[in-house]
Amino acid sequence: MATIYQQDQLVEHGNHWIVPLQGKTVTRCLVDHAFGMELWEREGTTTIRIEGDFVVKGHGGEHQLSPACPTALGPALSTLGKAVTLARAYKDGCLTVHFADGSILSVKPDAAYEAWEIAGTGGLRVVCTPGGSLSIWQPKRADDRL
Amino acid sequence: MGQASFTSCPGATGSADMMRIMDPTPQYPQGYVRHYNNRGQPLDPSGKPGDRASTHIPLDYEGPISGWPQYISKISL
Repeated sequence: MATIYQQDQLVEHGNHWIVPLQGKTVTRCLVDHAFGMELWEREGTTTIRIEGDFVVKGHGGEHQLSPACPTALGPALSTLGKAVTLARAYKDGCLTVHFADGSILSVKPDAAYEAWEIAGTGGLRVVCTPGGSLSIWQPKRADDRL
Repeated sequence: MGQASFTSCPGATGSADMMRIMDPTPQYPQGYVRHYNNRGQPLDPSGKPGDRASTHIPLDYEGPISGWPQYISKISL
């Protein structure tokens, strides 16, 4: 049975949740009808899938991006190899991911579709549903299963 | 926090091989389903990867496969 550590859990802070991505590195970017980032670790892979419009702000300026225009997603590929310092899932449906070089990726909710989702280790899952509500599945702690 | 449910194949990671049934929203008053292939791509009602419009499947959607997805909501995942 896999051990679920406390650091795999979302932590609630007022108007947002801290997503446990700190220190994890983007090891792969994926493009289909969404923009995806994989954060691979030996202990498990976390995926961030963005289906809505999003913004990448960094040293190269601010880029308004959309998975609906995949040929324009170049600036989003700059996240490859970067370590996450902080990720917040706001209760209004916004997601912000801060990287070690100071760049920030942010996504706003979408009225009609899921704007983003995160699938982490141990069953952690966060989905920004149409309209901006969050659906959250926390990993089960080991002591929950005794 | 939603009361939606999901199920996935043993050993699957991320969203791969997963089906997720979501609560009703104003846009989907009966709820909706998202299901994914083994690469974590959401699928349309015919089972092909598609854009977000075609892969948010209302639970009352009536497509080419009889009972899909209406009856899936009656299964306890």
